[in-house]
Amino acid sequence: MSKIPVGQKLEINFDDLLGIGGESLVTTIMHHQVKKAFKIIPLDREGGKTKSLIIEFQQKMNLNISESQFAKSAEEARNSEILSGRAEYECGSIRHENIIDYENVTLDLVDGYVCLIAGNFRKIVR
Amino acid sequence: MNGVNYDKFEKNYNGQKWWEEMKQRRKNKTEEQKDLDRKLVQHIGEVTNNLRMINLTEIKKLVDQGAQIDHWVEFAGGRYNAIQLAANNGSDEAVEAVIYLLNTFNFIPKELGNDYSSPLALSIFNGYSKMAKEIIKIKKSKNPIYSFLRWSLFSITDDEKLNSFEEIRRNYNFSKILKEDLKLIKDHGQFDQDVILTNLSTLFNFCKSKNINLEECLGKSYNIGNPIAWRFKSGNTNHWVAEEIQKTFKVGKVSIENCPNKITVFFVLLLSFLFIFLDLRFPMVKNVHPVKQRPIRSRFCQISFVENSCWSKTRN
Repeated sequence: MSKIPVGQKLEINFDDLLGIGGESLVTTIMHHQVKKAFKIIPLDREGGKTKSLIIEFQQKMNLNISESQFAKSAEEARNSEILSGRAEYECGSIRHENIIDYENVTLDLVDGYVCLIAGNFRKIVR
Repeated sequence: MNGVNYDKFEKNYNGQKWWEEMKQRRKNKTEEQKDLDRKLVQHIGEVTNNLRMINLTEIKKLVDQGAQIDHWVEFAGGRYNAIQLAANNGSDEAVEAVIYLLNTFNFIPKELGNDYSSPLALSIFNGYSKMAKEIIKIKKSKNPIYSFLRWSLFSITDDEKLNSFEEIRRNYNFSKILKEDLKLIKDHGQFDQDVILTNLSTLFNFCKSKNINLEECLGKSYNIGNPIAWRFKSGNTNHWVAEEIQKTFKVGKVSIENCPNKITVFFVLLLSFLFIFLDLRFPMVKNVHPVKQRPIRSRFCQISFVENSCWSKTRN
């Protein structure tokens, strides 16, 4: 079954595509009114348990955190434990002029699949 | 180091590079080397008078002769090495000595929760902001955010805490350290401690002032719904939709329509010809301003969008 309803059109702007290599895709996406680069790495080997975990903690994090809720939200966050051991996340602390400086690496659901999202949030000048 | 202390250290630091390396070194130390290690500690500061003047030149001389940080002495109820003793001394010379020794020797112990043993934790606990800042600058701390949340008591002002968080942001991957250090607090069960709660409030305000998205750091979804990130399954493998379309169309906007019996991909052929014509007509544009000027093809992207829509409508 197609994701696009019959008779409907959608558009893909290939100028946004920065590259496809290995299993990952890098694209620019408007995020908080700023164009940012995102590397999307599907983790096809991850089972339903990880997906459930992601859904569970996203439900708690999708609201804005207030100062009084910060400690509770930080205690409930579980992304660090499921990110641990993944190359893009582990290498995220290396800062070197020849290495991409990811501003945030997290697990997310993209198109229903568990993916590792590595975001380089410096403004894209085109 | 006696048996009790050794067992405690072994339990706390087992597997950490600095501890394993030190154990190896201590196995084969000569009396002469042991004496050099002892002298290094004595030059940093005697246990009973840890605020004595530190002579960096003498320390460097001893290190050049082979002194290492493998001699531990009893201090404040624990066992300290030369770097830790220097971190307990607030003088400018001590700052230089700590930075020199941290750059020379591998000594980055993990934070233990209720034991301020890392040089950064010691400097924060003692209120030595300058020393803390310098340690962060050379990235010789495993858990800098944790160190501040746990050991920044009354001796460091809010402004100094904010400056230190800024220094961490400059020198570390802040979102990663934030995730890990908050997890450390969770692992140590310290989220209910007053000092942690007070410092979390400062951290929260720092993040807001620097537009650090706490929600996203902690796992909020980016809601990436752009079809450029869609995939389709063929056999047992998933393929990027964009990769397949790119085999035919490399740039510009492509519209996809679900027709009753098939998916049709439209592309602005007319504009493709126009781009080719423009590229041929103005070939030098790319070379005149190779950095600032974008190729003609890209600069006409907006036209591509308008034309694409019209063209699709015409087809319908």
